[in-house]
Amino acid sequence: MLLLAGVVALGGCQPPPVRIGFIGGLRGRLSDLVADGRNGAQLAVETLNEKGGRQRYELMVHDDEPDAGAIGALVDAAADRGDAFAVGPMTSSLAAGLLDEANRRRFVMISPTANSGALSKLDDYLFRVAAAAGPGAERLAQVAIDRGLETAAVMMDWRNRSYSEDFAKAFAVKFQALGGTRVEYVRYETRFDPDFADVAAQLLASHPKIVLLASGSIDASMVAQKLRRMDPKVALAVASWTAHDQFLQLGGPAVEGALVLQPLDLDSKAPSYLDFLRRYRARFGMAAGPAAALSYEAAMVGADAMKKTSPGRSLRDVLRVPGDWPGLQGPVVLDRFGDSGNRFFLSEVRGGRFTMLGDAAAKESRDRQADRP
Amino acid sequence: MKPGGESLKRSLTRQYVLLACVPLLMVVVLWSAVAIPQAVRDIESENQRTALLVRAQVELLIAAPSEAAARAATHVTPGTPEPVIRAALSEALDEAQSLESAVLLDSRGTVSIAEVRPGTGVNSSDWEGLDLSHRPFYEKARAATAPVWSNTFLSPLTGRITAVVAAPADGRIVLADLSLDKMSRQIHLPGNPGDVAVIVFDGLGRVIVHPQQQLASWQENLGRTALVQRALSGFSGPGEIELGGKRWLAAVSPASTTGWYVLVAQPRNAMFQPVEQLAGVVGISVLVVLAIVIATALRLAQRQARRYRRLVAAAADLVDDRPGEPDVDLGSEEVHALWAQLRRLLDRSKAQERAARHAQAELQALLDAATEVAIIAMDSEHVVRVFNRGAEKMLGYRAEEVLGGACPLAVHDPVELAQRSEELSQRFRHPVRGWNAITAVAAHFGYEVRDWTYVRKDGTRLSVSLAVTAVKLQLTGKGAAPAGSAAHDAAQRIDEPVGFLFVGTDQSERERAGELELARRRAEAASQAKSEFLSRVSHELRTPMNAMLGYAQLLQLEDVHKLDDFQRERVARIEAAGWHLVTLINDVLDLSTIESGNARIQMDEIDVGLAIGESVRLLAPMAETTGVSLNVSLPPVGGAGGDVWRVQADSTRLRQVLVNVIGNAIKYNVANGRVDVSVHASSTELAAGAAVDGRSPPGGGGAAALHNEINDNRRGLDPPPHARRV
Repeated sequence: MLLLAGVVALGGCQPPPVRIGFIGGLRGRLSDLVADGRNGAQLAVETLNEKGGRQRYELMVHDDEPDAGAIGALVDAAADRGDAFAVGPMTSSLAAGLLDEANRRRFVMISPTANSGALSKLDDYLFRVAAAAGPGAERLAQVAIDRGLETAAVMMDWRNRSYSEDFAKAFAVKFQALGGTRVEYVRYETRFDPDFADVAAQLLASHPKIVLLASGSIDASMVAQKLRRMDPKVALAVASWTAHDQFLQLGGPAVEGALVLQPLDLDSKAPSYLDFLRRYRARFGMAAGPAAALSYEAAMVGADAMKKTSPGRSLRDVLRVPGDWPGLQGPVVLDRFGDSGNRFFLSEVRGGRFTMLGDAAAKESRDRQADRP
Repeated sequence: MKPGGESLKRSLTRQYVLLACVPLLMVVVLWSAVAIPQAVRDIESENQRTALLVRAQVELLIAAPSEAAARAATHVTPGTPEPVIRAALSEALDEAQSLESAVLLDSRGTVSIAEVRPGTGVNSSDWEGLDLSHRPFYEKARAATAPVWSNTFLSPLTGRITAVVAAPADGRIVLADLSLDKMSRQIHLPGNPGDVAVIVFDGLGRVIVHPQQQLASWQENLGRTALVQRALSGFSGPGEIELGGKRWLAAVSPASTTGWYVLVAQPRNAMFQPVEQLAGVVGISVLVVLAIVIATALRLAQRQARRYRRLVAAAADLVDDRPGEPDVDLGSEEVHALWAQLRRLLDRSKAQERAARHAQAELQALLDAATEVAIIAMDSEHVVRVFNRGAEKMLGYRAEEVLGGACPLAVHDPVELAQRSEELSQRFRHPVRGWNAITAVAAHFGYEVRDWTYVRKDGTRLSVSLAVTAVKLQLTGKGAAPAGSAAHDAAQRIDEPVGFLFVGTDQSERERAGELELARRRAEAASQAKSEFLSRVSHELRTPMNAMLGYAQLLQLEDVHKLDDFQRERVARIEAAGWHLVTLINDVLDLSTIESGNARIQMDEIDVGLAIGESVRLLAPMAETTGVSLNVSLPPVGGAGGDVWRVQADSTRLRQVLVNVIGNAIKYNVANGRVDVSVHASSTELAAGAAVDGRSPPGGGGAAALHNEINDNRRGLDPPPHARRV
């Protein structure tokens, strides 16, 4: 009886597990990105638990497929269940849709990939570890102009309008400011089973020299194949959202030479990043994409901030203090609005893989980080 | 022996129940030891069978698309018209309903012809032109000579997780896209879906079919589980897996040709179902048996307990001297023997109790008999244990007031106590307070006798001589324990007083007697001084008297200067007065001698008549002077004395007495009165009397004693006339 009582007592001493929610669409055409994010968060939780200690963590996965009218239910479900915070959403549109409810419920969301400029500088409950889309788009515009590509067409996935539109506008403004003569916009809606051949035709209607694809990797690869069949010479550029192995596998030769924005330095030799890549492959049997790494960072930032909370100092209060948080390739810098610094890199598809654009580009990116406000 | 405890009935009942439960418990344990492992084995076997069954279903389900793709591939030959190939692809879709699309890849991996099942949301044009050469399965399909299956992947056309089967077709490839949702629905799960879970996963551990198909759609990966990892490493078999927060017993079986695996699992608690079912039956049986056992045990225990209660009742009767039952039925030989021994013990105990009570009464009587001595006994906690009647009398407290309670320190004079405390504190070099001031010396040296002042209950004080004795336990045993040993420590503890005995004696009478003795001695000293004074004065007076008497006699005897009669008469009177003065001086000397205790009586045989005659002659002048007639009457002697009254007496003292008595009779007589002096003898004594006014005293003479009777008629004496008997 004494032993039983002791076991019960010891069991009673175990603090309740910290539940970390995950909000993202695990079904549909964007699910490659989200599944990577889910896996990254899952690995983060398993890492936290493997580090020992009495505090246990659990990942609670929410599907973001409910009707648009009930989209706030995702936040309610997570908050009602007692999740400490959520990793996600993985897209800017979903983040924008959940923002009001998160603010109302005072529920902290840390998004790995939502990087629409529309979400910046808001005193809200959304924190983001990915850099804003605008500077990356401007960088692509710069490279296009540098390469003499003066006309452009931009494809926008209207389902993730918040991101696509912001990205396209940033590109267009910069592109035209640098001498670009024309920018055409084509938008499509994935939920209506688009005819990608038609989308490609629309993009090529103005005979652009470069086509910028602001969409998920599957759609981008499908469109890229169509574009290549119609115009083998047109240059391609894709947003960091598209930076996924699926883009390479599905795109095949059609995406060779495409400029791809990367949220992380794929050639980084940071030990924590290399260790993450190794453990991810061992755990899931596949290579980790940038979305997985960012999601891992988001979960770790949240868990680390949890340890600094106290009565009267909420998780949001902790995260709103500008400062550095542990990241895989260096510190994740959050400002007082919970926005990350200008962390992005430029790569090009060469030989069926992403190739980082030299040390100069990487240095430039690092310099930008150093110059962050 | 522990006091109290549970009742015999309860104890026996528990023992009987425990005895009965042991075999029951053994049956349950043996049954559990056999049944539970068997249940686990049964579940594992069932899982294995189910896994094989489901694997067969999966193989059948994937066999159809595979065969359809292979058949379509046979139609692909160089020069085959496109419509024929389209027809073949359509036929493949018709043959395998789980296929959603069938396409032909050219030699570069690009989709050249595509047929899509209507309603899937995908158009043929979406497929056509797609370059699939970079898909992971493409190289594997190119090298294969038979249809091969891909791992699952996210379909770029449908946005759903899918898998494809690729069949070589004359340098090209026929690719069929499988609807995993449809295949899942076609798998027939044995039993209740809640009881059995069937999961199909690909070569990367990604879920293809799951009871919650949502997990398949979510691209859930089971690669972290040990069972799946083992299966992916080529070691399939039974094991445990955690799904949905529950533990499951599972078995994994590879689905041949696909590179997929079938996992069948049952909730771990399901293995307890048969055990629980049987446990219900066993439980009821056990409860029934237990009820019977308890009832029987209660009856047996009641019977046994009743015997012992009788034993207790008999013992109580014996203790309380009640008659009780003459023959108590105690049931068993052992209990009877116990009763006999108990009875002997009780008898002996009662005898000892009587003896102790008697001794106690004797002791108390003894103590109470000492009414003039206060005897108080006190233990080491200063609790009064003995307070005898003498203590009651001396202190004014009743025994019941102080017995069993702390002895009041107020019985001692506080000032005296404080002084003694101070004195002992200096002596022992540590503070000595309260009762210790009275007992400290006795505690150290065994006893102390000291005068104290008791304060009675009424506040009056009493001086006592108090003997304080330390009461110590007597150690028995040989030799002394070595210093420092536990036995030595115990001996030291035993050597400490366990109490004190106070014996107080009232010192008031002794002090009063001393005072009286002192007064007596002082009085005696004063008397001695007076006697000595008188003796010295008398002696000094006699010396000149001798000279005066001597010269008076010389004057009477002078022959040369003879005195005339008148002068002779005067000288005779001077001589007589002188002799009287000598007599007075002698009397004073006698008195002083008597008072000083030095008086000596010299008994001789004397003539009473002569003594009376001398006394009368001595007093005749005084009688003549006072006008009192002095008559002497000496009757004849009738006894053995002959002619004179002879008695044994001190002649001097007798004459003194006669002179005093007759002199007093003369001195205090009336004018012209008469003093009669007579002697008569009684049977035992001789009486000499002086009768006043001629009245003679009664009585007669005797040979052995003399009564001298003097009668007078003095004024100061009440009639009848005073009679002095010598």
